[in-house]
Amino acid sequence: MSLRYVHYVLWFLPVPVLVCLVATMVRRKINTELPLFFAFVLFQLAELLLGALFYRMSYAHYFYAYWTMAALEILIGFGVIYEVFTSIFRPFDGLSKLGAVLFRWAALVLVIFAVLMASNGTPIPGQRITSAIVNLDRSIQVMQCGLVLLTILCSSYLGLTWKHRIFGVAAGMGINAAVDMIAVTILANLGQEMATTVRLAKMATYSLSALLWMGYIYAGVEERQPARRLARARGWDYALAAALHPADQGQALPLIEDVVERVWKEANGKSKSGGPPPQNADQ
Amino acid sequence: MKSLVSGALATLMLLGLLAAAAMPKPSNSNPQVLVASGLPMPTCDPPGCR
Repeated sequence: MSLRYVHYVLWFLPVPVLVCLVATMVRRKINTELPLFFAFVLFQLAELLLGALFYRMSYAHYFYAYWTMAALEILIGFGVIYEVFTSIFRPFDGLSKLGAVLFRWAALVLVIFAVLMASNGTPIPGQRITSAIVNLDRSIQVMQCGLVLLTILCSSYLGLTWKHRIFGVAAGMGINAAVDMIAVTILANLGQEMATTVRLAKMATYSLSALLWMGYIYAGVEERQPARRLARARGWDYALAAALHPADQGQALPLIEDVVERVWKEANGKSKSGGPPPQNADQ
Repeated sequence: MKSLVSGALATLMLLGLLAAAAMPKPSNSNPQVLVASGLPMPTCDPPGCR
């Protein structure tokens, strides 16, 4: 089989997998749970099909379509990182709020960094926009790798197992990002003569990632298992919640007392103190 | 099994981050490359090559 056939096989191999992934997500209503990941998968599918269409038209069409779709893919991919990040911390309200704030600032720093990298240094003629896209993509890929590392390192604290759906989504994106960065470094250091092999390896990795997503969406679990050190994460969460809402602590006590009073009254038909029930007990 | 999967994945991520750190600065002799999704990357500005 010539390399050209391998190229086309690897190009279209993810299409049926992504179609099955979309169908499974819709059937199991996971598209409402992970809307950005669903949009990402739909976009990937459209990208592969539109890419083939523009590839047939002309090189110039394909070139501009490719870079436009690459820029859009980066934006949606960034959204998926945010979605995974918030899903990981969702059961922990305090950690989730702090994480969201940190994530937004990290995103701003990354965008500024990518723009500075693209505008600084020796510009390559005609590649200023593509440089900005590539730099932004590198930043996002570093974030994706970091996110997977965070997921692995914190999984026992957060009750996540490696069978969890979110773990699969993050792992697929992380594998793609890591292989892409390795491929680019190999090409940059060893020259373009290895370009075809490295590109085919990257396309094969993409197909594997699509299969991984499909496997996790189909068979991945949603529940978190009680983790050995989950209590520690809960402790951090409560501490953060108390730090974020110091004024609520004073207000919470009368509310708790009110609830206890109401439950006591319903159970005994009278107030806890033995006296008549308070007038506002049912309000 | 879990530690094997986690270890392999963590190693790959660390290799990716190391590769990002070792990536040389782009130049004319060393063009920018992006191997996005499953599409083959167009390597030179149009009009020209394919």
